[in-house]
Amino acid sequence: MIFAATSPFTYTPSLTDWLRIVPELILLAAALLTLLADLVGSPGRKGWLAIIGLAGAICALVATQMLWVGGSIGEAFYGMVNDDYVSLFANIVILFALGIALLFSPGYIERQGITHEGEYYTLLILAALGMMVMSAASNLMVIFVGLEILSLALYILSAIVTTRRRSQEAGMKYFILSSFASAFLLYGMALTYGATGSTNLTAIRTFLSSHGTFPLGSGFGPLLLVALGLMAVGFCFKVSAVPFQAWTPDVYVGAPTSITAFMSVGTKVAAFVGLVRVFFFALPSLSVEWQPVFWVIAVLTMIGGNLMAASQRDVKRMLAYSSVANAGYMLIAVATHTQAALQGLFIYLATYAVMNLGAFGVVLAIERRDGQGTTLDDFAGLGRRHPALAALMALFMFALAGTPATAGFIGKWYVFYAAMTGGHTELAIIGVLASLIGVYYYLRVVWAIYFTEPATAPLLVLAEEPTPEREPAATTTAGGGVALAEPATAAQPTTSTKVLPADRHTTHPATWLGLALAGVLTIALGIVPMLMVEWALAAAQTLFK
Amino acid sequence: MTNFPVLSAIVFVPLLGAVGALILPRLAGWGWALLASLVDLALALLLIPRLGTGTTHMLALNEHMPWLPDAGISYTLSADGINLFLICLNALLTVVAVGASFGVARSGDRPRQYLMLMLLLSFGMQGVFLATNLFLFYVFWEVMLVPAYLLVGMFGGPQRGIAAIKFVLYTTAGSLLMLVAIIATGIEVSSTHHTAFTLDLAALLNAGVPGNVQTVLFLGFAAAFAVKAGLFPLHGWVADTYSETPVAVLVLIAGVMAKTGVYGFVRFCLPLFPQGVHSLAPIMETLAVASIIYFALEALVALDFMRLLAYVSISHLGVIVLGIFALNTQGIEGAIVQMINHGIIIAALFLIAGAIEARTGTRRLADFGALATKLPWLATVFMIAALSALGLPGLNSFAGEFLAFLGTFQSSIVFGVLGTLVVIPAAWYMLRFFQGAMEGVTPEGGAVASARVADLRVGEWLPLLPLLALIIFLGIVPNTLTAPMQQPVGEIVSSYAPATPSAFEAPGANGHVHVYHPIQVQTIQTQTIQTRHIYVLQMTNALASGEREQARVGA
Repeated sequence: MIFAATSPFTYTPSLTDWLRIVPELILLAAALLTLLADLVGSPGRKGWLAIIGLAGAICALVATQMLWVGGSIGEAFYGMVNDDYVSLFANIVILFALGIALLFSPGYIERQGITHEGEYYTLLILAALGMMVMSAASNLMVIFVGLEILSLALYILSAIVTTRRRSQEAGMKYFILSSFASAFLLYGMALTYGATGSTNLTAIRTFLSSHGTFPLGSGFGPLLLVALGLMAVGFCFKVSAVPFQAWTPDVYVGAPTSITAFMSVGTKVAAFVGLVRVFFFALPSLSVEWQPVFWVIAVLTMIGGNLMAASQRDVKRMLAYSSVANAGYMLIAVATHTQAALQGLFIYLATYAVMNLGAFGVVLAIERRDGQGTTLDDFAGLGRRHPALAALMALFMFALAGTPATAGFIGKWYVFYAAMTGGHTELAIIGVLASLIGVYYYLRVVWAIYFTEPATAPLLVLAEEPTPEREPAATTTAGGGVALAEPATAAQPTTSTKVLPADRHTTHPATWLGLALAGVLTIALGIVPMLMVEWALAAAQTLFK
Repeated sequence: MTNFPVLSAIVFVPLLGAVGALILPRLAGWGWALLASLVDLALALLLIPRLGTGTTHMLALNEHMPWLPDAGISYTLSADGINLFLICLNALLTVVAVGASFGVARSGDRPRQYLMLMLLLSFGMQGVFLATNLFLFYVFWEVMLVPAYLLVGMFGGPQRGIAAIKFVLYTTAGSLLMLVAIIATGIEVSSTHHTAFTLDLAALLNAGVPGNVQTVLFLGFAAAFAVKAGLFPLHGWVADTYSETPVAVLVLIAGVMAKTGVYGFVRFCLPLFPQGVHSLAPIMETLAVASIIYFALEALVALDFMRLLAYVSISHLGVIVLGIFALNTQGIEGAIVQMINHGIIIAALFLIAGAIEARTGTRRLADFGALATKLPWLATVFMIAALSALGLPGLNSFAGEFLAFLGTFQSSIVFGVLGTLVVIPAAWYMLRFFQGAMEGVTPEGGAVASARVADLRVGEWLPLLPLLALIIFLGIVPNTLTAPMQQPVGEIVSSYAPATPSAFEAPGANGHVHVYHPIQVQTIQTQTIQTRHIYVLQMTNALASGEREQARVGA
């Protein structure tokens, strides 16, 4: 199998192969369908593209569920992808994130005036597809292909607000830095191939285990060591671990919030699953070499991420750094390298997904037309202006801070528990101390929401970029005929280009639905997490042998 | 009646109250909240005949349900003579706090959130007092913090934001260390005895925590408990938080929440880590004495009577800690009795202080004088509470403090003498507060001279009356409280008997081993929800002391 390339190679996919990637196929179909459906209908009325996407996500979720319960699972396409409990678990989280992001999108697109709706939805679905491919990959090449599908889609999505310079900057920055990291990863994969003679993860695993614990002296040892380092760099960049986190805040803040919500969760899932497939499954015999590396990175990420988040005043930026900090907790699991740690990692990914999507969802709901209005000052007094949004944000903040009876605590519990059973009590202690910093900056948002009053003067739009002309028009059309009769509203177009109060808009019903889903799950996973824990265990058992 | 899950009901009735309070409008919500807290009080009081016989064991009454069995996590509530009256205290003070919040409910700011958070706090504290699975305990421990944080921050004084976040950061720092210690306890026990990972207190007690790690684990737990009890030098949050918090909320925070810390010492640290506790007891005693004296001096120089009461509160909590770490029956019993008394008195004092501030608009002691002539009733009530606080015989605080000091003297003369010294500044600061406010001359032109002179209203009387009644009643018959706790406290103390110092390193090697049966003894299936069952368990063999396995191996 390793030297299959030397003879003419043919492989005919069977029906079983196709059946095992049904969730991916459904999503691909949904993506293509949205692209076609974009051709009909007038601009600005493309909300039903989201419905197509949502239907695709739900069908894919059902397919995943059916595969989990009764389907035949295993490797497919000549060991290129592996449809196991790991990929199915990842599918569930990614599809959930996609569904929530799609629910957030129509209202946000409308408010932000994003013009390329068809491309937006198609690329969003394709990004999810890339994530699923990456987490199902059982071959280094397919991991890379999945990574590129999701990255390319996300580069464009980050820059899709054509009227906002910050968004353009985010896309460009992400593209350049991420390409650089992809190159590292690819080079690492190439060297691994050079050292082991295969890109198939199982083959690499078998090859290494048949060569003793660490074949340093066997000629290809240094090669493998360099490969290990390069791949670690590549993956750490993708999960935004310190010191490879520099792109995260700028990209997360610049990108449209619905996209940020999705990529902060989805990319983490795909990258971590890819990481554990490579390091836990293919390279366990080298764990002596890579475990200390991840130990150091985990500590740096936890401390660095939390400290940097604590000094932010923009909640969106704070959440970006918080995603760095959370990557640190997940890296504890990687550094621990036990089955319990792997289970903890999967649980953490799922719980982080629900609460982080929710948190970004509230930010998205209070964000102004110009993409501003997400600082702590804008959250001031939210408890009185929008009680429901405020309560949800408080819930997500408490959850992210790790309060028991929410999803956040279950994730932290399993990771710290695994670290301690795995003999890394010091990581658990550093983790809890770092999360104390987290308590400070998450609860500062709650402070702003409930303990302070809104600033009395209307907030001025900073002259960061020219305000698009369609905004006043949108205000009048949204206001409707009745509003036009009033002189005060008639005068609005002239003033609204300068002054935009933070709360002059209503939240789209779909956004509400997404927020409610995230909120319910944040509590449910905190109180009745049994099913998730069970699934995570099944996934961990598949991978950790 | 026996298969009714009464402990769960005690915990969850306040949650029901919280939901209703959030939904219903002002006064209806208040009525609902009051009703829920009264029902909770009734349920708690009904436990007294069941557990108050004086012969029930530690962890006598249990309710158990598997939660995440693979991780050793279960929903286990237990009641015995140790937490019996603390549950009642929490329920009572919830009634008092809700009753004292009538004004907020009628015309205050955000009344629905206020009442909801108050009942959520009560819910969390009932859970803390009843939970005996370490995971569940931690869940309630943190759940209790959320409403407390929001109550301080939303309804407090001008510096409320800072006070609230300081409060949370201090307590969370302690809690997180406890979290690590909880996991470590489970791991150490399961790896030493090669058993499945469990966090049930009864199972951990039966297995025994290995001796070499007890000190470290104790320190982890102690971090959380000492912060909550405001033990010196971890008291930084107390004065700021107390002086910014509305009075009705303080009834719960100072009256009940501060007890969760000292309760934790008795419930978890003492039985689980006898060796660790034994070796660190002198340090804890030193800190307790430092708290008693330092906070008493702080109370003497406080300019503001809310801060004064805050320091009074933690100074007296020092007496409780002193009693606990005397590690003998008198000390621990005195400490538990004093937890109840302290809750009653401090709640009364804060209510009175609130009433004074509401009338005068100031809390600076220098502004006051001769209020007794204007407010005779208020002065009388204040006098009773103040006298009880300084430990006058015949009022409730005397018996508890006496027992605690007695125990301390028995274990160490030095700590006994140092601890008892507090009686002098205690009389001084209480009388300074009382005389300064009530007697003497009103400062000219101050806020007090022009204050409204209405005496206590009905709405202020009603919350105070049960507290006053208890101050007097428990002063006359103090053994009401001590009787039920004799047996469980005796079981805790037996592990500190000098004859069997090594009993816990290897259970069964020599000495007494108690076996707690939270699960197997008697299971009555009350409810079947698909695959999950609620079991209500009772220790039926509690009365027969022969059933207590006293294994004396090697005889």
